[in-house]
Amino acid sequence: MISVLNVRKYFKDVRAVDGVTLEFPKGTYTALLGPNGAGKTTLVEMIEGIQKPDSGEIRILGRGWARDERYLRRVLGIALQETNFIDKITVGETLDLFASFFGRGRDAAPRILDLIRLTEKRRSYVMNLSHGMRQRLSLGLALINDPELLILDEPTTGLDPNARREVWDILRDLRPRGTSLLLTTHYMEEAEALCDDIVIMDKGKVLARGTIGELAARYAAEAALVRRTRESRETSLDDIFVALTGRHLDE
Amino acid sequence: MNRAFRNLVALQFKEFFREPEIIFWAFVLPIVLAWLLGVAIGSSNGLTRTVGVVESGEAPREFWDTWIAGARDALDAAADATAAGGRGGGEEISFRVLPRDEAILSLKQGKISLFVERGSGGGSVRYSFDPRNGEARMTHLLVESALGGGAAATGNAVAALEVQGTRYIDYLVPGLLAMDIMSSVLWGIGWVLIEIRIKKLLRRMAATPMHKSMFLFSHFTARLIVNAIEFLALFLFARWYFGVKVQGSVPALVAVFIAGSMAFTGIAIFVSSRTANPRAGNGLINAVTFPMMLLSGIFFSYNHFPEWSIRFVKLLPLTMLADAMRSIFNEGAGFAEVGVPALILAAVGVVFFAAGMKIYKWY
Repeated sequence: MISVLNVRKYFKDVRAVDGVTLEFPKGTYTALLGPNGAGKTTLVEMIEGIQKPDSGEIRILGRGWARDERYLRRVLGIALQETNFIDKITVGETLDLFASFFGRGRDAAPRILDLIRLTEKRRSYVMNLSHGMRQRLSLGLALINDPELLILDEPTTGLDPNARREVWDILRDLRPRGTSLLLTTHYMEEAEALCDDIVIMDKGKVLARGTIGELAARYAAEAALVRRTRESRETSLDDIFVALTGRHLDE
Repeated sequence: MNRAFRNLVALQFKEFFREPEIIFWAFVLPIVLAWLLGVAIGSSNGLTRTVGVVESGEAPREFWDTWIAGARDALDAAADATAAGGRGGGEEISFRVLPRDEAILSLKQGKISLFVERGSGGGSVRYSFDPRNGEARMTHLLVESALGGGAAATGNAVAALEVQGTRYIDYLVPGLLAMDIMSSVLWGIGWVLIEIRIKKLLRRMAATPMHKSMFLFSHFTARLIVNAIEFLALFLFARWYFGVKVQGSVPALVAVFIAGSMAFTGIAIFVSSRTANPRAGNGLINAVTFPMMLLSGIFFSYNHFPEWSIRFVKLLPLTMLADAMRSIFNEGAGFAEVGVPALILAAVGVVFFAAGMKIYKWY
């Protein structure tokens, strides 16, 4: 579905993305896991056509941004890391505006409001929403075109555990529809709860990839050393991350 | 018209009309400004005073040469006396000989404060000016007192000039309307675009199949409608309170209004094309609007500026717009007179729009 081939992006002396090659198959939920500055956002923004790679190639559904931007904009569902909406525009109006960008009718907004559980807030100004509700609205905008592929950049950052779980529930509900998901996160539990495919990134490079089971098996010895320091019997994603990078995700 | 375009235009309106403060600044402030300037500041002094001297069969050039020489001597003597009395120097007054039609036109354009014609008896003269124009009254008093102690002593007459378009308010209102278009567009489009870039909403919108030029055009359309409402509100107030009238072609006025809005929309899009910093955006818009507000003859005629600078001042879009509107309001102009400036303004809009689109930072 997405193919990233030897992609690089440098900002002055910083190697934000340094020769990454990845394939994302259809129907999978993939987490790009890494600390701040790992290069996750730069990588997804290049996949989203918002930034251009310095070198390498990105293909989505067999197409590239240079030639097929309009097509790709139509089929992708995107939630950026940070978007502020217009304060005195209602939730329903915001969704309907974006629906019209995709050539969708007036029926799209109520359907998405239902999906993101904001129907009762449809007439509220965006300025009156909680942070969690705004994140759900942002997710709603990403879903307004019924995308095959959803790319979310840290969709639950800054949310309390309840609000985070609400977002996870919405994303789980999309699975039976065959939606593919690529999300960036620095929450281990988010990657564990939602994704069957985990890519660990740090300093612009991919350090490891696989299911939690595969990663645990592959890095069992290294993770065991980490695990001993906290007296646990099971290998967690955090142990694997520490074993690979020498530090915790939140450092 | 497609649904996305309609939604985008409606968005501007909703945002605009749901903010009471914006409504105050957009509608009430220009009216208060017109009232204040028209009633209160309209009676204050100008800096430079030019007296028109009407040449005619009964008052040929030779008559006026003698009169001007006498007036100049008297003014110089009065200036010396005030300087000697320790009350500062004299006033700068110049004289221009011209036919009556041109005198009235110059008065409308703010090039002269009043004009003088030969009176009915002997060497007496008659002054014509708007009695509500403080600058004109002061000029009259200065000349008369220098010549010999007021009208009673000289036998000169004063005629209140009530020709439509010669009052200060007639000069002021078209300028304010032009300035309003500029401010409204630069802040209402330029600043709004910068603000939505700062909010990162622009990149979110650009990451959809939305047509980017349609997005910008929707801002122009919404602002054109808001401007028209603002324009009408200020004009109707000026008409009701001050009796200001459009003496020229209304379709030409509409064309100039649209062309002016186009020019400033292009400039607004160009100005907002790169910056994502509120202070830089604020500074940029002020850097564009402030010099034009000061130089384009909105409040006082730029004809008082040094000769060399006037050529440049006339090239400013706000000068072109204000002059074209003033000539329609006060001089009865139509398409023949304002067609060229309107086309230039429209072209300025198109060029800046194209340049802005070329360098626009969407993400």
